[in-house]
Parts: sequence; C-alpha cells; structure tokens
Amino acid sequence: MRELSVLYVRNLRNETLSAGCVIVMHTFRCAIEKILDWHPHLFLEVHIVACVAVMRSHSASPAVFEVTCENIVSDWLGEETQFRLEVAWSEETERNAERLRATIQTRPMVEMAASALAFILTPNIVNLGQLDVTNYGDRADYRSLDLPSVLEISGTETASELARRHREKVAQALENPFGLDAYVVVCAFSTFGHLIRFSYHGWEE
Amino acid sequence: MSDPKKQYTKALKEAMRRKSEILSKAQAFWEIGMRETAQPLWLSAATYEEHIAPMLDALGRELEGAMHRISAASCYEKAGDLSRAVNLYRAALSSPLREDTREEVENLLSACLIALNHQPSESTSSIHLSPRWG
Repeated sequence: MRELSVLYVRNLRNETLSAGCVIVMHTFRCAIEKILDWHPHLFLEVHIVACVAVMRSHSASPAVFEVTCENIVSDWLGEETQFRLEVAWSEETERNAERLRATIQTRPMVEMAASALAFILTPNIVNLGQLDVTNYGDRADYRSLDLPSVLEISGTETASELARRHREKVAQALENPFGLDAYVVVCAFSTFGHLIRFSYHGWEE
Repeated sequence: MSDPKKQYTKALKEAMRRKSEILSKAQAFWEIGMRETAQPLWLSAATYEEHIAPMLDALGRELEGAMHRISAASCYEKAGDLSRAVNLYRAALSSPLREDTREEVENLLSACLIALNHQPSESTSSIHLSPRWG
C-alpha cells in the first residue's frame, strides 16, 4: 500500500547525476473539525480547539503525525504498521485556540487534544461504531457498543515519555471493569515531530 | 457455551447516545473550568445513567448495569448531590463487580461519605420534600 517514488537529480543538460528511491508512507489527511461529523453524538467542540491549541504551539497547519500501529486490523491500513496523519485546521478554530490556551491548564488540554486525534482514528482507521461515555471518578471512559472493546486515550508534550505512557495506558486499559479488549491511543506532541501509538490488546482473565 | 447477554435494544442505544452527548458536554465544560454550566448537565447525565442501568440488567448485562450506576454516582457527586451519589455507589457495590473495581468503588464511596459529612448544613436544610399526594 506504500507508494514508491523515484527521485532523479539532473544537471542543466538533463543528464542524470544520481537517482534514489523514497518510500512514501500511506497518508490520511483531514481537517480536525471533521470529527464533529464522524461523532455527532459526542460533544467535541472543546477537544477540537484544545487540539489546535497544542498542535499550533509546535507546528503550522497541517500538523503531521507519524502513527505507529500495533495489532491493528484495518482495511485502510492493509499490511502496514505505520502511516502519516496530516491534520489541518481553520483560521476560526485557530483564533479560538489562542483564547483557550490562556484559560485552561496544559495537562487537561493535552489530554483533550489526544482525544480529538483518537476520534480521527476511529472511525477512519478502525471503526469502533457507537461509543458510549461513562464517568468514573475523575476520568472519562469510552466503550464501543458495537465491538467488545474500550478505548483508552492519553497525550503528552514530552516525546521521550511516549513509550512509558503507552505501557501504562495498556496496563490501565486491560484492567477495565468490563473485562473487554482495549484499543489504546497515545499521542506525543513535539516540535521535532508529532508521534502517535495506536494499538489493540486482547483482554485475558 | 452460549452468551446469556442479549443485544442492546434500539431504545437503549438511543438512551446511551443521548446520555453520551450530555455527559461529554459536562466533562468538557468541567475541564475548562465552566463548572456552573456543567452542573445541570451532570444531573441530566446522572438521570440517564440511572435509567440505563436497569435496562442493562434486564438484558443480562448486570456488570454493565453496575458500571452505569457508578457513572451515575460519579455524575451526582460532580453535581454536588452527594446523598444520591452515596446511594448509587452502594447500589453498584451490591452488584457483581470485579474485585479491583469493588475496591475502587469502596474508596469512592468513603470519599463521598466524608464529603457528605463535611457539607454545610444549609445545603441539607434546603432540601424540599413535597408530599407525593400533594
């Protein structure tokens, strides 16, 4: 499913000086505002603005994420385990993001930003169908009503934390009180390149 | 062995859809500090959860029913209605729960009882009990 591009470097007489192959990753492009259409039964307006507030502090629109998948079965993805996610946003959302950044603490904003990105991955990469939200203590839990799975999401602005955070979230997700399988999305926002880990884990008693 | 759980009904999925919309709104407003705006939404979401829980029980999905009672309790707690929160945490504890979940809910119940004991007296004196026959 990857595109193969061949690059030629030529001189002014159109003689080939060198050639090289570049493997172009599968790319999914969208505007962050589209998650409202994909999840009409969830209130995600604030998540969108939070996501833009975090993305714009590291990069211009569109922000590019390198997504690494683990155990993800997806028609769109095929046999691939990595793809590029390009997320654009509107000027109006950018103006709202400026205001939000001044009023909300960083941690909840990054968590909401990660949720917005997770709501791109479902339904587009894996369709979890209708998501039910429950409140459990201080956290929001998402559960698919169409697949026996929960969705665990987290975000960080420290790229080096990604692996550790992902391990923590997998463990947490597999302790879900429903005894269901888990999809885990962890996003790392960074000026040096945004990263996402998207994985699926079967629940074992 | 066949799974005794029945499929979600259309009415149940619709109730869960509407509840998720309200609850996600409450959570978002709460996170950005608009707590007064979130308060009636927490109450509304809690009411939905209370209705959803027995519908799940009736489908043989008692564990899910218990989780929705915990969610209802948690929403009432956020809305400041600690008495209802306590009742729902207790109702959830009387259901089949995983052992680690039970421990967590017992901790949530203890914290809620402590908060209830420290609640200012005017909030309890303002409770208006209207006669059912009135």
